[in-house]
Amino acid sequence: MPEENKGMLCGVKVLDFTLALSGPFVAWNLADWGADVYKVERLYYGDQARHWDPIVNGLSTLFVAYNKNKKSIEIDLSKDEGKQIIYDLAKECDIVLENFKSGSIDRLGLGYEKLKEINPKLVFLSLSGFGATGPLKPYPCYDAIAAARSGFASSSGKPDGAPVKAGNAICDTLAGTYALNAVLMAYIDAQITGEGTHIDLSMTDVAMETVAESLIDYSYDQDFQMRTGNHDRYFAPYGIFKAADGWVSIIVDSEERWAVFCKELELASIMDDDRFVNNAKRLENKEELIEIIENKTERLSRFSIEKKLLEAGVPASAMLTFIEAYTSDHTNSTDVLQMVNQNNIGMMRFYTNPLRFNDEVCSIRSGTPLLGEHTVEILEDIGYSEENIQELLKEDVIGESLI
Amino acid sequence: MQPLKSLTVIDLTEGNYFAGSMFADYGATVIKIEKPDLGDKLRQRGRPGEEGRYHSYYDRAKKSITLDISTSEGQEILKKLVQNADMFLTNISLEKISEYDISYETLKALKPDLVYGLLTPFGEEGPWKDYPDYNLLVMSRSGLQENTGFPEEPTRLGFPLSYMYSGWLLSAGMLAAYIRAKKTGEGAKVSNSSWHMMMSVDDTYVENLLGLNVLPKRIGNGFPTTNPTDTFRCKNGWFSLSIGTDKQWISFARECGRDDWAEDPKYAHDPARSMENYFGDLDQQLNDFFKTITVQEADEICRRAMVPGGPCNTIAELIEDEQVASREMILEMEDSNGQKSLQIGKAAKFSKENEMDNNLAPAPELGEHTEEILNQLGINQEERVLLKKQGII
Repeated sequence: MPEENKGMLCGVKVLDFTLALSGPFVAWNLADWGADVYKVERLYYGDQARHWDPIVNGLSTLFVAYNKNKKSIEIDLSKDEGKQIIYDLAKECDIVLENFKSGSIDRLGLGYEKLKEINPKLVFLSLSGFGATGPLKPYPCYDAIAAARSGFASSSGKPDGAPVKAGNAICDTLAGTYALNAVLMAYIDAQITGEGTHIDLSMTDVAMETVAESLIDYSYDQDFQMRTGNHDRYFAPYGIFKAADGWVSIIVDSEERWAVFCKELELASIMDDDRFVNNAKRLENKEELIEIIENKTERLSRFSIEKKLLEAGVPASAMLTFIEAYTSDHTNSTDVLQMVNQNNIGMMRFYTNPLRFNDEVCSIRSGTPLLGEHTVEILEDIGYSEENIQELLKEDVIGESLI
Repeated sequence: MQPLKSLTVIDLTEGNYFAGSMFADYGATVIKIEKPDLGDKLRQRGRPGEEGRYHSYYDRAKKSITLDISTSEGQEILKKLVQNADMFLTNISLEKISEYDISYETLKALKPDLVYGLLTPFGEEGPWKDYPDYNLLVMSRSGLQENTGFPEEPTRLGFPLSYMYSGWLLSAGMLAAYIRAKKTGEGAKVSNSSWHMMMSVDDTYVENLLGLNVLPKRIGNGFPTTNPTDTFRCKNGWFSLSIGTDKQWISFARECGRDDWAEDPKYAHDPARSMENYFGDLDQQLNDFFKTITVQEADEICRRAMVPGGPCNTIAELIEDEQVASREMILEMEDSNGQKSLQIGKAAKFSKENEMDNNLAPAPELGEHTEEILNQLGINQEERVLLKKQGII
């Protein structure tokens, strides 16, 4: 039996055309928070992400991770009868999500202008790489390109080295996180005014938040230094240091902590050294300081440094590899992971939604649906007769591929 | 459109502005509670002697009142403020929340439909729950930090990514709870941990561990499943290329005038064009190729080939960029002291927008709205003078 839906968005209905990662991430959070998400998928093929490597038992693990708690309806949107189903669903829904190539949904006759005639209260999100305006509008964009164009990549790395993007597809999900806000605030507005809105949101625009400080620097100084390597620009020592068995992050952001830090790491000789006597001096002589500290930390283990400093009140942390974080005591003694029974695969261990509502984990009411798993159920719910549904199946307007 | 204009948020956060700014940018009244002497530590961020410049961005469109909430009078005023608001948002430590008696249970008793947002570094349970709250430490414990950068050493991301993520997811969750509170009259506590957020958005987990049964590797600007994805040095700057399909690769190769790349079966398909080959001679060939062209030429090639590619922009390019301009993603703002600054614009573009939407009030001086807001709460001038004398406001 599916778990009871106690989510905050229980009763909110979402018509979801999104593909790949950023859009499905939005729909997945809405579903986790209680909304009914109808994932509209291409007949016999589905969301392209169903076919992304790596595949286990015929299902993409990436796809499975981002489509839990949704319902899949498989439709040929090029056929009039297929479009009619969308018009009928739009009457029932509150939110529409799409991330097709710019303008495609309008050409399909399913754009905001059309659906708003059917339901003026609809909130309609178009999520894209560059947005629906500007010279880049027609061009393809992936996570790495949003990171490059937004300044995200130029903000990380050594000043004289290459720009660095994050070790995973951060821009997609960061844009998705922002989009959740936009959709829900527009829904609130629609409840008050009775009028929905279209939202045009771009991954590159959202990723520009990462250059906020450099932009202010430019306004004040007509100059900027976007990347400062592994160390903070305003405090020293504050950054990542070599340890005997990896790396350790250490933060010394006050003079009191400087004194404690020197004592704990047995660096008393440099504590009152003119070059390091206060933060301004330490910043000025940062490279020398880092070298002296690393001479010491290189000979100690990450965890021994962390323990020593934390106990003395200096913020520090061993840098954990993915598997160390994943198998840590903290992970094991909290509810960040949950087993999910996934169709065609069986029990899989996934991260829970990071949000807690009233201290409860967002329930996983169902795993990721197979293609077309809910086609019939959804059409029945909106009043299609069995005869009508059979007819649509036969004419290849809708499908139940179950792949 | 100011979709949140009917919303009032009491913002008791320190050092983390993202959730509060999300509300303020889109029209909510966000009342920030700051310490009487120095205020939020974000006001101190900056080069020695030049602190405070970033506050003009972090706190735009917010109101500031000073309040010493370690005193019982301060706590009383905070409770009154909350009773007259829709949401309460905090990231102070669990210990302080209990010490000041401002837990969800306490505030809910005063206002049943309150949405209470709590941001923690590591959650409310488990051995790390009381560890210090710094973005760098959250990132260090998440695995993503270790996994970012080139094989030789990890790279620190130059901005507080875990705070950005967790703040924005929290604000969205609070909006969801507000939607429900409006329908049912019942509020909710919504909480998020920055560490859990970073763990859960790590898609390399599902790719590598669940899918391939291997551990994620630190591969610079590469991508584990589609290639080539990398950053290349051109004559005049850095360029990022991200090929997702064989079709894109062939199209790219032809536009580069390199039919050999398109035709050589060694490179024609992923996964044959995968990491192993890629970091071998193809990587070298691509590096050699990009060295001979400019960033603009590389951009032209990618546009003609319709493949994802783009320059690694810096502030210098962003302020001149036509795309950025057409998206209004850089706004010229005026601070309360008249100083002009360029600030990041608002990413959500609503069709119901009007031209006033980017008129955001400048960031407040410390305590600028104390008088006004306490007056609204019915605390008269005499009482205010006394509170000030006691150092509570």
